[in-house]
Amino acid sequence: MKQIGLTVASLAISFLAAGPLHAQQLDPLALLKVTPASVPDHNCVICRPAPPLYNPRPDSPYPLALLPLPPANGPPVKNCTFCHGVSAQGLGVVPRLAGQRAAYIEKELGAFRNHSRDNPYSALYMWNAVPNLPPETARALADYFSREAPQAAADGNRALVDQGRALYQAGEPQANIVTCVVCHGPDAQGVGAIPRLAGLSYSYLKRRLEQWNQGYHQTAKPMPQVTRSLSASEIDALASYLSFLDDRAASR
Amino acid sequence: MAGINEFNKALRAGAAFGLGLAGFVGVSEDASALPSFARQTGQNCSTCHTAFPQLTPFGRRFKLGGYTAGGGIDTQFPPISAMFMSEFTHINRGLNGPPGSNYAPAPGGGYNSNNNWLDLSNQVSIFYGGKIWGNLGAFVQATYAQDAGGNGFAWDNTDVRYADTRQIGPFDVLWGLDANNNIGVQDVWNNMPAWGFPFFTTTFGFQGPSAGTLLEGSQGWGPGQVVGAGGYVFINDMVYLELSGYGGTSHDFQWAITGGPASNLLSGVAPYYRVAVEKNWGEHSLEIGAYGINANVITGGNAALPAGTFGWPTDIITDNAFDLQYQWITDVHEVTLRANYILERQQLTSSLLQGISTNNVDYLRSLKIGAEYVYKNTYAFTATYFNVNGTADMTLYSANSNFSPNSEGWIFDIAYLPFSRGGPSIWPWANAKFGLTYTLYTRFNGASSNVDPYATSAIDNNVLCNGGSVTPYCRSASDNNTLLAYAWFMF
Repeated sequence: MKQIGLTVASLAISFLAAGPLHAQQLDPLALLKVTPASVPDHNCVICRPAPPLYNPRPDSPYPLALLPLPPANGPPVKNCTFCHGVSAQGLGVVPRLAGQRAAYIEKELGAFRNHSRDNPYSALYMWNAVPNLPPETARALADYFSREAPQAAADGNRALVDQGRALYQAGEPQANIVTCVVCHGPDAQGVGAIPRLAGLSYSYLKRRLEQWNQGYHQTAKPMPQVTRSLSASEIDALASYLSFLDDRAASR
Repeated sequence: MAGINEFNKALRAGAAFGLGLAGFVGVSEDASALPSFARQTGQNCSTCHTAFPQLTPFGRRFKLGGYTAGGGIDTQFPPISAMFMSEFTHINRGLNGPPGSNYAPAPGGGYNSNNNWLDLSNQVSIFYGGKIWGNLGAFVQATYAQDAGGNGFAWDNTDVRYADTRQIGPFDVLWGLDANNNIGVQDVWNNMPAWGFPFFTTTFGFQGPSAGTLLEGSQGWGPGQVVGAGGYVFINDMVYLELSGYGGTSHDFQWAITGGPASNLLSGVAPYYRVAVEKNWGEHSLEIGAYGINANVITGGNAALPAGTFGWPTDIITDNAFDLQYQWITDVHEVTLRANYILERQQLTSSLLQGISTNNVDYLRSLKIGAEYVYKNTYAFTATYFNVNGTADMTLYSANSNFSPNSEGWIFDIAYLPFSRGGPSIWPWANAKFGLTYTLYTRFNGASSNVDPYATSAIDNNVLCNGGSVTPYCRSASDNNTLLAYAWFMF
């Protein structure tokens, strides 16, 4: 009897203890569903002023006031860096965010939100990271990480750098491979919503290029078409070359 | 009257388990994969755990970052979780040896006369786990268990952190201050015994080798009987350095919070260090590290000393350990290889004076090598080899064959984790682990057969045991092999 009592008590405590969720979160299922980013209503009669770039919602006042803790300010960077690395230089399979184009980061957060970026790791990690991310916070995070100084991963195969550079800069017309330089820029710095590739990790670049051919993330036009003509060894060469590329190397 | 008898029986059983067993090995009851962490980060358990409580590189950084990373739902209520665990234990041969043997039924022997223990509410825990405010976060566990000393809820593993990041020249530094109540509970690589495999043991029968190092709980210091604080830095996501100190808590505090003091007292402050290098590339993660502690211990001090006695000699226990962990983690397969080696030097000045040991200095070495494979965060298979060996000591190990502490064996575990990638729709943060653990002893307390010399001395005839475990007086190491079935719920 005691054991059954304990079981019931512990169940009850845990359900109670989860506490009053916010009103819109009363249905736990809703958390798993995709909530579309708020779209500005262009037919409004009396339009609200545009929201500020980032309106930090500081933590509520520290309830216990035992320690002179500094208030949290700025975007919640820690939410990202526990996987993307302390200074967002990437970690394992997780790509570097430092120095990435802000517009690209924001666009990809949207792609995670609407599940159009459906690569396995995206589905496993990022789909869960964005449903509760307000658009203004997403923008602030993108802005923050784009200003961090990137470091080159430099983890590809050095022997393939020359081949990769040639492919990147000139493509291969006979094999129907277009040049990368046209969109991603001479130093692979990216522009606007076109991502910076320079110095991303070899494994990440390789996996992305391969996965377009496997049918993932087909909305990222024109990449699914571009990668179609790339052979495995050419993907290897491109990923190797780009992983070593940073500002200094690129200016050689 | 029947009720009183029932009560007395329960009380006696509780006392036997609590004192006889928990104090023996220093039961480590661990838990993690906290649903409150999942609510806070929005992530599934599988982001931070291969099969809980084994951490992934992301889980390690979540912990080092002070449990403060968010991204999930934003509740105003404290991050509370609960845990419930049921166990069934079967040992290869019941503990029903004849009077005079170690394995005789109580009160003549150390154990109950039973085998096949079913304990539906083996452990119930409540956790506070997550961000407190800003950069401050905590993992706090309170546990109701049979081995909590019959004191109801007791203070269990606790780790409170303040962590922040800072750019210092070319270095990205994650730094933190930490306070905890169990040696090693702050560590993030699952080699440190506090979070190492086996992640928990049965509370009945045999809980692994009898001899163990201080870091493995040999002093019987459960959570709260020592407390520690320190600081750490994690540089460039690669180099981890930590320095902490541990001190004993007062008797009154221990009676109030932890279910009573351990018999051995920690004297002064025990320094603790941890260094590790973790390199991550692609789907691979490799860690190489070392850690250790140096403690002045008044062996048996709780019974021998009135409070405040000054000048009593101490044993000096020094542990140095080396560990290695390799992980290969994809979206489908997760492999974790673990190796851990602890070398303990025991300067037994106090024990020698009290007649607890024969030697002035004993050594103890504990090796664990294991592999874990997890398929889609759902099916987990683990095999671990352990080997404890050390100096023979006529008094300290008087009950062992050849007075040797040596034990050796394997632990196999299979588990099913249905909810690692999202729980049932009514409570998506829940997790559960249903598993079987089989512990196989090839050597136990110094021998592979006739592991109970008391049995032979009691009847003064060693011949009886020469044929192995044929007679009821003799017991081989394999008789202690233990099957543990468990159901572990986190919600």
